[in-house]
Order: sequence, then structure tokens, then C-alpha cells
Amino acid sequence: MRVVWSTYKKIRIGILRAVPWSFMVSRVTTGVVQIVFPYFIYIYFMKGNLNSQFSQYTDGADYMTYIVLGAALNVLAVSTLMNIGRALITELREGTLEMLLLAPASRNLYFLGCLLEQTTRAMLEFGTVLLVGAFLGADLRYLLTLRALAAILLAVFGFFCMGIFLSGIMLYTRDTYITQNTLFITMSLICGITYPNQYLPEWVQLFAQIFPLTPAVTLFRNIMIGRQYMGDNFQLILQVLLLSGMYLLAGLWWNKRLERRLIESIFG
Amino acid sequence: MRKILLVMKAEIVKQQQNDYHSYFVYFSLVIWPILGFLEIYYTYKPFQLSGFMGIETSSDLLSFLGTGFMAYTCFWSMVQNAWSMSNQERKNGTLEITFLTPANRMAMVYGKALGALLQEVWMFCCFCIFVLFYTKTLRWDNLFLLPLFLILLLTASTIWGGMLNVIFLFSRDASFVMDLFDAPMTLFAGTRIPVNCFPKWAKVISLFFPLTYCLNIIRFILGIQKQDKDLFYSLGGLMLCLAVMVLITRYFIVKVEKHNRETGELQFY
Amino acid sequence: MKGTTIGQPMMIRAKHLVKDYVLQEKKGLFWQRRKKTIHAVSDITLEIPKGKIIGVLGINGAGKTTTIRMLASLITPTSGTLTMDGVDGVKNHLWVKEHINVISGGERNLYWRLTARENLRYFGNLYGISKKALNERIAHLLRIVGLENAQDIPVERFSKGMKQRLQIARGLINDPEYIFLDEPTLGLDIMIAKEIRELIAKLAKEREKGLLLTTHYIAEAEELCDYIYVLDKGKIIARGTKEELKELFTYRPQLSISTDLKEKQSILEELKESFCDRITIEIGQNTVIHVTGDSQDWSKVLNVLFERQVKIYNLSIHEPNLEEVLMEIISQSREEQHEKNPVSNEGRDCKTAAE
Repeated sequence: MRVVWSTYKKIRIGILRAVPWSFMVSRVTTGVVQIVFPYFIYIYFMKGNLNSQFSQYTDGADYMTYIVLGAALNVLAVSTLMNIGRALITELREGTLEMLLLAPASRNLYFLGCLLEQTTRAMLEFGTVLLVGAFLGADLRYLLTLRALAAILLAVFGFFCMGIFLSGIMLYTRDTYITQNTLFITMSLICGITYPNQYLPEWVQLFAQIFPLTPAVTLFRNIMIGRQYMGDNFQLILQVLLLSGMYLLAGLWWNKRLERRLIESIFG
Repeated sequence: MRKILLVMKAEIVKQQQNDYHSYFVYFSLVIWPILGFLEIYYTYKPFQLSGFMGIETSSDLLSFLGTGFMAYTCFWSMVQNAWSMSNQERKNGTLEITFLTPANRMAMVYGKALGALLQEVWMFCCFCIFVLFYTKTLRWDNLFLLPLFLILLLTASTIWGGMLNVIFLFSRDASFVMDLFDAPMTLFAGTRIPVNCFPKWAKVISLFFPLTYCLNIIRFILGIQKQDKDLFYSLGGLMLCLAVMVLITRYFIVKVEKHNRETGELQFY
Repeated sequence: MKGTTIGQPMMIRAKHLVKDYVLQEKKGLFWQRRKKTIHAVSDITLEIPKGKIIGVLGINGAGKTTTIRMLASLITPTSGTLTMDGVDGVKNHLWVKEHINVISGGERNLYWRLTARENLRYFGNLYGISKKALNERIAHLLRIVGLENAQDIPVERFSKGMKQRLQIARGLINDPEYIFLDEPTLGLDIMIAKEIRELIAKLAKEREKGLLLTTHYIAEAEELCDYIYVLDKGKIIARGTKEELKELFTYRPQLSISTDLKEKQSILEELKESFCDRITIEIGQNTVIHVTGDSQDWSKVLNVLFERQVKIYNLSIHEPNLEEVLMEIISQSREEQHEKNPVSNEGRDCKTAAE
């Protein structure tokens, strides 16, 4: 537990002193822009003219609520993935990775510390986007229920596991910018963020299922818009958990191998 | 005049030879815009297209977005390039060496802009032109419009890029310019949503972006948006914007060199 | 185009150049901005005639680079005048830039992704040189600096010495009349440094160019410079031809003799008496005698030791480098300034002239 806590504190201090404010601002901006565009189209351009497919795909959901929930959960995903994914490579770039690798602390606890630290921040960004969304007319009445909270936590867990895998990709390619942006743009294109992904070709829909964001956002909407319970969405929960388990195992295994190679290259 | 052209040519050729961020450009100016283009196209999917603003079918929508994305990417690449070039050249010390020469400064900044444009956005432009052919906006019988439209876009982007290059000479930390131009320019310049449907306040904001006029004219030329009487406003607006940008560039280039000669800032990074 | 003023000597002439930088400091809780002035150069008067090599020596931070940047009209002096062939160089900086160039040491200032030829062509075009003339000049320059065989290789694959030679070619691309060389041989191996020095000498002697050279290497300054200025804290503290400066630049090599003199106090006393100001004695595990002066002084001391059959463990000669000589001149000048006690030397003269 001490490792978790000291990682938490270390990152916290580092963050308060260093850059990531700009990351936070840019993620919130992206989230807001993701709401504002559909809002402009919906209100000014199309004057609320939705087609029948939309209500068929979404069980008659309110458009703005649909968009806002998607955009907010997307921000949560981006934020978690970025924070977890970049953790190790940032240490590598700042030259503190070797200290970390030499310390006997478990890597898993290290990541857990990162998770604890970042969740508070990610929630802040998530909340900001929801607030803007509510201002633009989204119906968020069900946000303060236990089931909504459970869905959010499940989503964060899924993103966290994928983040560990992402950290492997970043360590392997030694790149953050291109990797993260390509991933995030792809996710917001195919995971059903600002439109139901049933509009996309079928093979793309299938491909979208490998991202925990796809089932998580559906689950979140089912609870917030469809007023369903967690128990009604067994299949979605199972999908998030399965994906999480896969990413977690693959990520940890890969990271371990990469670490061994990194130690050899640092000390070799 | 010969010297000015020589300087511009040198900058363009250098940009091509000094293609240092090819991977980055490949993603940021080809793959990401294509994915973004598709995302916006699908964002329109839940709506019933009604022919409002001349957009009746999804092919109308594609050609509307195709022109919007193409022009936007040209303008955006200028922002990105001005930023990365100023960083890169400061770090390498080449920025100061170019200012050690008596070369015409305006030719230098415009050469840089045009060079970057030719070097970086052609791939995405090919994609957009493909979209325009696919939607039959461009056909064999109106193919003569293509060069007209490209020249207009190149000229406007170059003048815009020249101004940004000068702004980035002032400070190595002008990244706020990036934030200023990314989302607001996308939203208000009519790249993805027709400006005409906006409420008054948003229309007023759109007037400040040269891209707005440029897009209006491009879409008129290609027959995407029919708006005969507005064309003169747009043409006038674009001319005025370009003239103002040239004047700003000219004014600032003198200022910036004076400033940098006083502070010696070009050597820092 | 400005013509040269008739009757004006063909040289760059700087009078009382001053460069102050204003820094803004952020301080305190409310980010109060406070302005702080830094005097990078506080008084420089010098001349660079055509066909001569002028040396500027000084420790790091003495103001050498700022001086070069002012002379090259890259930065404007806060006060003072700068003329080139009689034309005001501050006002007509673009005209000045046509006739000068700067070559600095190190690996910056080149486009690494471009080949040697592409770099030269780019810079040549910025000077507006016509295609034919530029081609000829590039070929000529690549030959001079010995990069003919590497002309089509990107600079990033060049060695340090090759980059430095390309810098020189770049600095000559506009066939400048005056050239500023800022540590041109910094960090190069002996052979390449020698080649570069020969090239520099040729530029002044055969091609009548006016050169200003800053360097860390005393041998380089001695070999090349016709006239030398010593800078400290942004001021010229000494100047003169090599011969004139010899006095200030006196090498004082030191011979250190490690002996078993510990128990032979009488001999030590005798040595101290006869060479009082030239020897210092360091008593440790072995007694070490440090002798300054020339080889004659050394042999006298050694003869005494041989006569007395003193056992010698080790001999070593220490020659001061430029850094030390400069430090001596500089500390001398600083002491003088501190005491405000005028002692006649070049630095003083210059300083009084400036005040």
C-alpha cells in the first residue's frame, strides 16, 4: 500500500509543478468541442431534424443527452489512457526509470498508484464536460445514482487495463504523440461517441468491440438514458471485464519483457 | 525581383530537402484529417438532410465537407509548420544565420509557407479531390475549375502562413496561437457547418477568419453553395483579409527584426 | 546600394560599443516584473583592416560573442558607432550583411538533413547569387575545404571536423570582405585544426580579407593574429601586436623537482638565498622545489643539486596555458581597478581613453 501511496504523492507533486495542466485543458477543450459541433448542427443547421434510424438505434434517446454522455466518457477514457500509458515512458524520458526498475516495488502497485492519482483528475475533466453538456441541454438526472457510479468505475477500470497495454506500445515505439492521437481519433470515430456506431460498416462495428470504450459507453447510456440497472446489462459488463483482463495480462507480460530489455540497454 | 524569386525558390527547395518530420506530417496531415473527416461525416448521419443550405444528399454533404477539410488542412498546416519550423530552426541556429544574410525577409517567410504547403498537404488534398470527383462535384467538363480553386487556396494559405511565420519569430512560445486557431477556426470558418445557418454572434466571429471567405469562394466556384450576391462580399472580404495580412506581415517583419536585434533572441532556444 | 565613402580607410571600425540586455525577472507572489539590466559589453573600441587578422581573447563570458554579433550587425549596440568602409553599419545593416559573414565553431547553423551542396546552394540563393556563379563558387569552396567527395552526403552523417569545414564554406559563400570567426577550431583534432588555420591565414594574406578571430588557443592566436585585443567583463583590458603583448603573455614555465632534501636543511637555505624570488619549496613526503624562469635558471638550480649529490626522484615541467595567462592579465587588471591605482599598461590606457 505504501508503494501505491508514494507513487500517488510523487506524481501529484510532479503534476502540480509541471506541465500537464495544458494536457487537461486540451482534453477538456476536445471534449467540449465534441459536444459543441453536434450541438451547432442539431440546433442551427438541422433544426432538430433527426432521422428515424437514430431513434431506432438509440431507443428514442434525446440527442444532446446522447452526445454529452458519449463525449464525457470519451474524455474519461482519453485521460485515463494517456495518464497510465505515458507513466513509464515519461519516467524513461526523465531518466528516473532506472531508479524505478531497480526499486523492489512491484510494477503492479506502481500502476495502481498512477490510477489512484489520475482518477481524481480525470473525474474533474469528466465533470467539466458533463457540466458544459448540462448547460447545452443534456438530461443528467441519473448521474448521481449508485448504478451510474458503478458504470463509471467499471469504465475507468477498463481504460486503466488498456492503458497498461498502451504503456507497452509507447515503450516499444518510444513515441507518445503519434500513438496516442491515432488511438484517440480512431476511438472517437468508431466507438459510438457522437453517433450510434450502427451507422458504420459492419466490420468497423466489429472492430470497435476490442475497445472497452464501446461497451462502456453503451452501458453508461443504458443506465443514464434507458434507466436500466447494472443487472440488465450483464453482457456489456462481461465484455468490459473480459477485455480488461486481456489487456491487463497482455500489458503486464509485455511490460515485463520490455523492462528486462530496458535494464539491459540502460546498464548494458 | 530576381533576388526575391531566388529566395522564395531557395526556401521551397529547402523545405523539400529538409523534410525532417515526415512521420509526424504523415499522421497529422494525412491520416488524422481523413479519420476526422469520416467522423464528421458520420456525425451528420443521425440527421434528416432536407436540402437546407443546398445540402440535400450525402454526396452534397461529402463535397461540402471535402472542400471544408481541404481548405482547413491547408490553413492548419501553416500554423503547425510555423510553430515547428521556428522551434527547429532556433534549436539548430539556422534561424539566426538566415537573418545574417541580406535576403528579402518577406520572400523568406512566404517561401517557407509555400514550401511547407507544397510539401505537406498534397496527400490530403489528393484525398479531398478524390472525394470531389467521387461526388461528381468535379467532372471532366468543369475540370478547368480545379486549377482556379487550387491557386486561390494556395495564395490564401501562403499569405496566411507568412503572417504566422512572422508571429512565431517573435517568440518561441507562441503556442497559444495553436489553441486560438484550432477549434475556433474549425467551428466558425464554416469548414464543417455552413456559416449561413449560424446565429448573428457566430457569424460575426466567422468574419475574422480569412478561411471563411476563402471557403465561400471555393464552394461558389465548385457550385456547392449557390449564393450569387454573397459572392461579392466574400471576394471583397477575402481581398481585404489578404491585404491586411500582408500589411501585418510587412509591419511585423520590420518590428521583429528590430526587436530581435535589440534582444538577441533569435539565438536562444 | 551604398557606395563606400571616398577617402575612408577600408576597415570595420567600432567605437565605444556598448550592449546592455534588459531582462525581465518575475518575482514574488504577484508575479511582479522587475527589469534588470545586464551589461554584456560595456566598452569596445577596435578596428578590423582588410588583409589583417584581428584576435579577440578572453575567458568565457568576457563578451567576445556579443562583440562579434554586434560587429556582424546581428544585434544592435545600445550605444557607440560601427562603420564599415566609412558607412554606418547600424543603420545599413542589410548592406553590411552583404559584405560580411560569420563562421562559428560547433555543429549548429547548418541544415542537417541537407547535403553539403544543398546547404551551400540554399545559403547562396539567400544572397541572390546567380545560378552559374553559385555553381562555380560552390565547387570552388568545396574544393578549398576538402569536402568534394562528401558533397552529396547529408550533413547529419558528417564528422565534427567535416561540419566545421562546411561551416567555413558557408561563411565564404557570399565572398565576404570581412569574416568573423568565433572559435572556429573548437574541439577539432590537431590535423584538421592546422588545415583550418592555414586556410584562415590564406584568406587574409592572399585574398585581402579582414578577419576577426576569437579563440581559446594561445598558439592559434600567436600563429595567426596580427593584432590582439584582450577582453574582460565586456571591456578591452589589453591590446597590441603579438610582440607588444609578449610582455603580458610571458610564458612562465615552471620546473618541479621532487627530491630527498627533507633532512638537508642547509642546502635548502642555500638555495633559498641564491634564487630567492624564483623558487618555492613545498615540504611533504618528498621535498618539491618549484623553479620558475627560463632554462638557464633551471640548470643553475639543478647544478647545485647535483653538486650536493641530492637524490632526484622526479622532474616535471608545467607550462601555463592561455587560460592561466589570461587569468593573470585579467586578475591583474581587476586588482588595479579595485585599488584604483593607475599603473601604466595598455589596458589602463584603453580604459582611460574610454572613460
